[in-house]
Amino acid sequence: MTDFVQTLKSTGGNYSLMSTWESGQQCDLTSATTKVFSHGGITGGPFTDGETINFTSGGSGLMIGVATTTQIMLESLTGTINSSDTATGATSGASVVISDAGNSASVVLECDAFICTDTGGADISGWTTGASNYITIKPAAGAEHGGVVGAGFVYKSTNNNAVTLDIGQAYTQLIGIEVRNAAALGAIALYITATTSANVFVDKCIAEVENPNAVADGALRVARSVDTVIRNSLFINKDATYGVAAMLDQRSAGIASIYNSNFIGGVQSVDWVSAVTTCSYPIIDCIFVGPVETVVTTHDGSTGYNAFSSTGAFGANQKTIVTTFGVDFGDYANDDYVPVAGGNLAGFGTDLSATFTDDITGATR
Amino acid sequence: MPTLLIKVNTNNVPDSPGRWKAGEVVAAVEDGHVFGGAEVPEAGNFYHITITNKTLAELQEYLQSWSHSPTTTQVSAVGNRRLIQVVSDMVSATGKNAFTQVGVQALLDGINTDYPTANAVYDSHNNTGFRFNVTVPLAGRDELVSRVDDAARNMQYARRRWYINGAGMTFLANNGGVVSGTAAQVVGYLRDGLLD
Repeated sequence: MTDFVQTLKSTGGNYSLMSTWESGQQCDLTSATTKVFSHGGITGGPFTDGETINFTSGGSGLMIGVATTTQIMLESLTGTINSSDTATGATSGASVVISDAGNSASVVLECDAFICTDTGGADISGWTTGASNYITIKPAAGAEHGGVVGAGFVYKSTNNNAVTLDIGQAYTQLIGIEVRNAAALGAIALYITATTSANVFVDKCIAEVENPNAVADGALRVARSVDTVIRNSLFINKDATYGVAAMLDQRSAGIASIYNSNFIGGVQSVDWVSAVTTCSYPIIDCIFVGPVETVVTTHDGSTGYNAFSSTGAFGANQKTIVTTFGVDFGDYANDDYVPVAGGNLAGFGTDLSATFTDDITGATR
Repeated sequence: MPTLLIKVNTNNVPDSPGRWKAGEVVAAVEDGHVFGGAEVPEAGNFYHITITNKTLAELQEYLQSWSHSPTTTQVSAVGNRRLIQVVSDMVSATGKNAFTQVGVQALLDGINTDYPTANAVYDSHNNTGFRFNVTVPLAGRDELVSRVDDAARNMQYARRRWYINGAGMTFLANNGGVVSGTAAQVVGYLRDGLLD
């Protein structure tokens, strides 16, 4: 499997919006006739989306989206293709000399550090993905947020009542990006709705909603998304009326685990979204901030080492924390939730290095 | 002068509500937006339509997903046994995105899985709504309504409610994929799927 890497930049990238990337590259990644090829540079061009690409050995395929300076991805491949073939666009006349015979593809969107305002947000769905053919959205090298709100790639939507980033596609990975719903009538920032063999992975992400206008408008909502893993992430909704940081639906399987993440709610850190009183997945090394918690009667046996600012704490080895005076966080009022040296949270938690070894900053825990 | 980006080709994936189709409005951007290499008309992914007398905010409705926008109400109740009605105005004139009994039953099956004592049972349906009976205490009714609303919203028909019609796509293709004009000049090419 080879990653087909495209760039999201304010200027000079393959794409400037996540919605156009998702629309432009949507394909069946699992098909044996979808492959990514490496090349040494484009002559002429540009290639155009959907055009027929003919290889000198007789094979052909259809261009998906756009070529990068080092790769092309084609679908509906047929016939003979040899490494070192020249691949020529039937419409554009653009050509490349490939350096391999093609590999099964995953797609990667590498994002620069900037605020990407995509008014209507993006919905990742309708692809065909699999355990070996997945979608990854992550920062480019050097564009990581380091755990600081607003310091890296920020994906921002402004349309009223619209989700910023809706993950309806199984095998999607979000790593190290920030998702911000900034609409006047805000909605959910990050909504994970994939329900069948979802395997969605959220790591080192920040999600926040600035102006929620309903109790369901959390920074994060997970709707029965099977085998979703959340770790090293930060979810913020400080609204005094609709301030729920995350709505986590634990019915019918759902989330696999939540590790080392902070849920900052103006009203409630987590709404468990269900009358079902059992939460069956482990929640470890997390911080829950909010005046009120709903109570789930039974949690997974390994749940523990979580810190809480209010009643409703659960699991083993709990810790109560203080947020109002900046005792435990660097600067709570200004979205700095890094535990301060000497505070309650310094050194708190358990060793999860058998599962992962980094934290939201990207540094070793 | 905001610009709408229009999908040129239908993507080669299995048909589903999430599949991008030719003519659908993908995004809207402000005047002066710097496009990526894949977003310019020459790359063949997107046509550009600039509306000269509208603001970006005024174009946001064209990005609306074609999903249900349900209104869920209780019609009657005997004790905790309640008759619930769901109505959506996101069904086209000819029935595109209409509720089906199979779809409604799948929704009810999901509720019965999540709430084993709910005993949600189909009552009736038409294109724009359905009714079912369910057992839920008053304290759980709002949560049930939220659950039903979520499920109905996820019955997506297409990526976008609005699209460029065939005449508009031909016009764009014949003009290098770029047109600019007032809303009145463009409106004949911009179709509301709910009128189909």
